[in-house]
Amino acid sequence: MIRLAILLAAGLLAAPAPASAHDGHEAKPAAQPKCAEVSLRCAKSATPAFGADGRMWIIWSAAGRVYVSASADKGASFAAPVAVSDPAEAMDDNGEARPKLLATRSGALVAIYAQRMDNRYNGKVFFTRSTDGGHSFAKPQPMLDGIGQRFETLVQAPSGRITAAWLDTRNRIAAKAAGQDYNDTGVALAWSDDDGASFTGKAIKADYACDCCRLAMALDRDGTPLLAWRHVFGRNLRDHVVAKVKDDAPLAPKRVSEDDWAIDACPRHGPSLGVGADGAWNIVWFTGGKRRQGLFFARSDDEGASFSEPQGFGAANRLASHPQVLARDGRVWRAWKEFDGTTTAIQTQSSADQGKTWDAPRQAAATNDASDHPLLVSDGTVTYLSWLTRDEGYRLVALP
Amino acid sequence: MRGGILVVLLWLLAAFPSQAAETRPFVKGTYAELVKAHAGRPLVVHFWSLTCAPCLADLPQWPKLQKRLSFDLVLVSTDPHNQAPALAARLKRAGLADFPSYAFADSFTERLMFEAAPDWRGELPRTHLISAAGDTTAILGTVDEMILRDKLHRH
Repeated sequence: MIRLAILLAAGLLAAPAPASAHDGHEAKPAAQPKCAEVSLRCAKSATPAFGADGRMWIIWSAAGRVYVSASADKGASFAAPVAVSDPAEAMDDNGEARPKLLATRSGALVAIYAQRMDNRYNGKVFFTRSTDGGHSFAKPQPMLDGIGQRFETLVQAPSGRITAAWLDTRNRIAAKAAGQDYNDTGVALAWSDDDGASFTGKAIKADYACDCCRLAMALDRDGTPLLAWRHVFGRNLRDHVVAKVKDDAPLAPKRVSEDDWAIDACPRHGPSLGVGADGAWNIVWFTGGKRRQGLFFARSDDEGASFSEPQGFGAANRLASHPQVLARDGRVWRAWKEFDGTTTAIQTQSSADQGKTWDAPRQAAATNDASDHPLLVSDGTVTYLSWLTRDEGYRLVALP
Repeated sequence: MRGGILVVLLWLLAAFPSQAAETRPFVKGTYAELVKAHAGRPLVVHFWSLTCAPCLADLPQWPKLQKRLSFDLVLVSTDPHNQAPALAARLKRAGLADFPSYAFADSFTERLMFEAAPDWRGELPRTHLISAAGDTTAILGTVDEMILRDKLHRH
C-alpha cells in the first residue's frame, strides 16, 4: 500500500519576492518570465533530511535564495520557509547540482550550496548552520576564498565528524590565468569536528573527475565516508569510480566498470551510492559507453577491489535516467526516471538478496510537466521516494 | 537613483551591442518548425550550454566550419531563456552573433529534448547534422569536419 503525501506548494509556501535586477531586459517578451516567487513552484529541486526528532526538512532554492522548510507530517504540510543563504543572482541548482542539508546527531542543521559566480560554470560553495531548530541560520561562510566549486555534498560519521566534498577547478582556473591549457577537475574534501561551525582541509584529494556530473557520497559500514564520481580516464573516457576517504590521504579511486564511454561532452548525469549493514558498496549509474548503454547497478563486497558485473535496469526506450540507490535493513532499493514523450514516471524496485534479483519495477509517481531528479531517503524505519514536480509539488512516497 | 539607471544602461550597451542577434525562445514544437523552415538545405542544429566546459571550448570552431562547408547553422542553448544576455555575449565572443540563436524557454526540458531526439538524456554539446535530403545524424561532443562534410553534403 502506497502512502502518498502531497504538498500543493503554491498555496502553502507562496510569498512575494523582489524582482531580479535583470527582469525587464529580456530579449523577447514571449519567453517564460523568470520564476520569482518564494515558492516550491519556482524551485528546481528539493532535497530532504530527517532530524533526530522525527521532523523532516527540505532544502530548496527559488528567486535566487536558498530556503529550508520543516514538516512534522512527512511532507504533507510545511512550515513557512526560512532563508538559509544571502540573495544571489543565481544558485547552482538544476537537479544535478542542488543545495543540501544535514541534520546532525546533536540537532544542528548544516546547509551547503553553491552560487553561480559568472556566466559560465564557475560556482562558489557556501555553508551555514542553524542551532535553534531551524528558526534561523548563521551568516553563510564561503568554503574557500576563490571560485570553481560545484556539486557539493556532505555526510556525518557516527563519530560526529562531518565530511564535505565537491568538484574543484581551482587548478584549472589558475592555469588558465597563467595562459596554460589544463583541463583537470579535482575532487576536494573538507571536514568539520565542531558540528558544521567550521571546516578544515579543503584540499583536492583526487584528480580527473568529469566536471559536470554530481558527486555521490555515503558512509561505509565502519562510518568512513565513500565517494563515487564519473572519472575521466585518459583523454576522455568517462567511467565511474568509488573511493574511500582515508583521513587526509589522497583518494584512491577504484574503477567500477569499463563502459568505455569516450566523449568530449558533458553527460550531466552522475552516479548514486548506497551502503547497508552488510557493508557492500552499491552503485548505480548511467553510461552511453561502447560496451554498454543505459542504467546499471554493480556492487563490491571487498571495498572496491572488485565489482560485480554491471547489471542493466530501466526501460531504454523510455529514456531511463538519473538513478538512485539506497541500502538498509537487509534490502537494496533503486529508483530512476522514465519519460515517454508526455509523462515522466519514477520507477522503483527492491532486492532482498544483495541485488542479485529484484522485484518488478513499479511506478511510484508520475507527472506531465517539469520535474526534479528522484531521490531515495529513509527516516530509519521506512524507505521513501522524494520528488518535486511543478504540477504536484513535493511528494514523499513510502516504498513497500 | 537616475545615475544608477544610467550606469546600468551604459553597461548594457557596452556588454550587448545592438548587432547581437536576438535570442529566440525554444518551446514545444520549435524543433520541428526549425527543421521544416530549413528543409532542402543542409542544416546544423548545435545544442550547447554556458555551464558546459566542452561546449564553450567547441563554440569558436563553428564560424570557420560554416564558412568552409556552407550550411544553415542554428544554435540552441539548453540554458533558461532568461539568460539571453549572457548567451548572446558568449555567442558574440565565439563569432556567432549573426546566426539564429534559441534558448530553452520551458522548464519541462525533458519534452524539449525528446522532441529534438527521443534518445537524448541531456548530454552536451550535441549537434544534429541534417542533410538537404532530410537525413539526421546526431553527434555528441566535438564534430569532426570530415563527418560534417560527409553527412551534410551526401546525396
